[in-house]
Amino acid sequence: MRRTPDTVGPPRVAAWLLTRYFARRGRHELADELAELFLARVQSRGLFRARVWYWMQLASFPLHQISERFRHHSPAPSRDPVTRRRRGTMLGSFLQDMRYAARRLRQSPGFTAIAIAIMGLGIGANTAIFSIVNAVLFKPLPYENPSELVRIFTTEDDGETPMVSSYPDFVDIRDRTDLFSGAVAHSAMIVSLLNDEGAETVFVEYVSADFFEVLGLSPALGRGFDSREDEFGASEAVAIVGHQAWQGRHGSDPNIVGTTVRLNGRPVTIVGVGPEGFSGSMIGFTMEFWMPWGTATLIDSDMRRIVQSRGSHSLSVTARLQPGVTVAQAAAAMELLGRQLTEKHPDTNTDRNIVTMAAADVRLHPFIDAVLYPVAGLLMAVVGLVLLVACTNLANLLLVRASSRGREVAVRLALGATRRRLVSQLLTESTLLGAFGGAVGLALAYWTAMFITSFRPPVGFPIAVDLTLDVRVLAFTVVLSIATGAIFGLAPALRASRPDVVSTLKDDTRPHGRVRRRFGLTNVLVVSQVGVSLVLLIAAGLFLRGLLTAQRVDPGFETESVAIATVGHLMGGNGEEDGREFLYELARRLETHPGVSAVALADRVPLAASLQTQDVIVDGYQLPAGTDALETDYTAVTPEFFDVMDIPILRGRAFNSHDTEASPDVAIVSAAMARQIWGTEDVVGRQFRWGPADPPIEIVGVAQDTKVRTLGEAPRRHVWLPFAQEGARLLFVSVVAATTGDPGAMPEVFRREVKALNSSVPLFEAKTMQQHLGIMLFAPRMAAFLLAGFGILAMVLATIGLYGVVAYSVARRTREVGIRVALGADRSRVVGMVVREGMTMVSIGVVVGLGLSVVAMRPLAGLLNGVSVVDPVTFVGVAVLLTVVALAASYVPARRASRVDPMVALRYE
Amino acid sequence: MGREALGEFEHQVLLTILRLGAESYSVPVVLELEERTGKSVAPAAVHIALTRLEKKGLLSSRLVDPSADEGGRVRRYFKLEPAGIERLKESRRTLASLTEGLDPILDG
Repeated sequence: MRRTPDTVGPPRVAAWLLTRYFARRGRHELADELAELFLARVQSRGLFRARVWYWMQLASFPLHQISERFRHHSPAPSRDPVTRRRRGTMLGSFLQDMRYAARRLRQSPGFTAIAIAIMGLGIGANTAIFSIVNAVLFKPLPYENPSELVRIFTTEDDGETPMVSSYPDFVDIRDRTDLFSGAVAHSAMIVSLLNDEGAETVFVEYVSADFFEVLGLSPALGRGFDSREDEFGASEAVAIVGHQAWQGRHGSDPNIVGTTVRLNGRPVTIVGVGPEGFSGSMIGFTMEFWMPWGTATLIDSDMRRIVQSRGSHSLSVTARLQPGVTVAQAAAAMELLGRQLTEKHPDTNTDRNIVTMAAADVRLHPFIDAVLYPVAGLLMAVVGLVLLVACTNLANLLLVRASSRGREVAVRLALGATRRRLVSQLLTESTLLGAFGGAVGLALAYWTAMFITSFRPPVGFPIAVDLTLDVRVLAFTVVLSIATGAIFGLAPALRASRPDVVSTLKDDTRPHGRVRRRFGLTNVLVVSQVGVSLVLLIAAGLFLRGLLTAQRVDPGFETESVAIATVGHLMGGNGEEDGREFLYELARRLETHPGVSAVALADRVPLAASLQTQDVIVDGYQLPAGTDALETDYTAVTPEFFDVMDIPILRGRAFNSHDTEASPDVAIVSAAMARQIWGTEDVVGRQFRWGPADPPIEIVGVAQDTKVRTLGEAPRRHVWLPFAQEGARLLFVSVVAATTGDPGAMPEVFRREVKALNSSVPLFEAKTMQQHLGIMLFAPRMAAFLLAGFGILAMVLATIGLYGVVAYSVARRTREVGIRVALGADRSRVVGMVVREGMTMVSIGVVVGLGLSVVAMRPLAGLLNGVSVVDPVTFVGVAVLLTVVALAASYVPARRASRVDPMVALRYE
Repeated sequence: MGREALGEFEHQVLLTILRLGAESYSVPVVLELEERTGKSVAPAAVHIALTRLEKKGLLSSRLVDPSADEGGRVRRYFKLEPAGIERLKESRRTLASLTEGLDPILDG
């Protein structure tokens, strides 16, 4: 529905929710009628008030319906005590309580709206984060009978760390038909897809021919794969196109089966469309195509070598257990198989084990899961704290409300109501508030989660998180809302049902012992709200400081004028030799471009997500205690690289055109590496080796240190190798260009040149160095952004809570203030007195929060780019901020107190 | 269900429908009630009252399909049943007999 300026409609989300609500009751017409009333209200009261009114209908309808529903359920009181007890069954009194609660909430719409809004914010934050966590960690893939599925991993040669398997190992696993009714190998790869604008990179998942059958999925269109397409040497490459790609790129073309696409420059026939709602076995990554292993070799020249080598580990294995076989049995059998394979193939399989896990226990890969769970836990803890603030706020509101209801409660107690009934009535009310808060939260959560996931890391491939509402998120929200409403309503309910009957009935306004005690609890609640929001704000502040530090770090190379392109030079039908030639030619062409001063090639750019490391061996060097190898990062670059990146060579020389495959192996090392191993930077002419049997490599130069993996790291051991001797073997190589003009214009130049040179070679990424550094800063930026958002939310809630308590206390003390003023107290002293009361709570809260933060921030060490976890600037700054906001919150009611007219206040008596 | 007393709000709703003419849907009822009583009226309360009165047999309703000239909106039209009119007459008679002779006080 598009809104044109001259038509005004009701708030869309509220309208949607109401439509749902009415549709469930078969009263579709009510939505239209409310829209009409909304328009009438816009005319009479203005747009804003009409919108507020419309939102309130969301609560009004269910509340009215609840009280109507229970209208006839109030059991008539019986004189016979036995009957009375029997009649007062749980259900009967529950229904009565519901009706009573609904009526009471309806009677004070202001209180109800604020309470629902507070709970909505708290629950919304939790549901939003949970729905993201759920999408990444819990939402099951749409497989049939998922409990029968297992994931099987070959370990690293430490025998423990689950990694990926080789194709020959997979074949041995699949042959165990006594255990598995089917086993499939799958592996996601990046290939180039030729389209009208040139080549782009997409994900393809190479799979066994029976991939879909074993997982219990069936193509939406066309056919699955044929078992013959699993055999190597097929003549025609076939693919199933992903459902999303079919709907998007191909416009749901019903005649797509039989058409041809060009992947890596080769024709591939589309034989089917993948299942709807299935984007591949890797959560978060959307596969554009699935191809059977047998035909994968036709588009990926490397694949033939990979699938035939037992030493080449690159694929995941999923298997379906035979009926009656347990995961434990399969795991034991696989472990045995692992040992047999070690015996049979000692050169490739020594120390490698085979591990089996229930598919439900693996999300992406055990290795990645190990990182995701703590991050998810941390996020949930953060929003949990926000909810805690919201709930204590609700408890506070209920307490205040309860004391204003003291007379009613006292009358009922005096008339013989039992305390249990009173408590259960009050609890029903808070639970109902929690439930409505949950409904509002669910709507807020949807937007929030969409908003948060709209921030994508700036990487060259799509990441998709499926946020559609499922039963898990719904159950989470329902349980959370009802539980919080009930738990945080309990203390106020217990308090409220225990007033001093006599004194309350005598005088409702006089402050007495009970009231003081009640204040004790509200004070504790305010203190804890302030403390918790302080913790969240400090975490946000620390991340912000870390971010600022990271942005100021000098990475040791040029960041302004450089642009980077990453190309898949081996795709598009290139062999290794062609690929290398392509790269050199591309560099030459780019160099002639006006605005480009120099161009270099590198197999990795600094601060990229990928790592390249090897152990360095230096004869005669004594390893420091506790280390068993000199793990060293390395990068292969062309001679121009040091000029392009402006990395000074401190000693010796840079590479030159004489460093070729035919010449002796040479290297340039980082200054840090020279100092660490040889104790001096003067190491030109010294040697190291990669392996005991490898030839020595001579050091010809020493380069100034650069950041390699992260901006926060200390100078690292790093080896630079000549591209001609080492590079070009990887799937992707980066072209780095120094510009004299605007580097922002370069991505387009890269795109044009790559296409002109070989239109089937994909340009994986083209970006400026600044954009590249943005990837490094993405995680700290996200963390700072989320924490700041939730921290501010908590602070706002705490401020509302503080304001409410101070305002209430002022109202209770009207008479006292009046007497003081009448006796000649200065008005500014009255303000001071009230503000002091608020600030006492705030100061205690701040002190408690600071103390908690010292402990709670400890796990953040190492994520803050060197900022201390007890950074005084952050601690003091946040404490001051919170105090100032709190001061404002208590000043407003204080001012009001000072304006009390002594005559009015005293006439109260 | 036996004859249940007509609530004040139910009474007001019945009178409003009568005032609005032969047939009416909820929107004019809400607006008219607000106009006449000078108070804000919850659409939910009107909806509930209409439903309840229909159950009691004092009102009947029918859904009218959207016609092109009405902006395509579905509406539920209510009209008073004879029993409803009878109840209104009856309560008016009761009120009249109760207020008889009290005009000087009540008008003051």
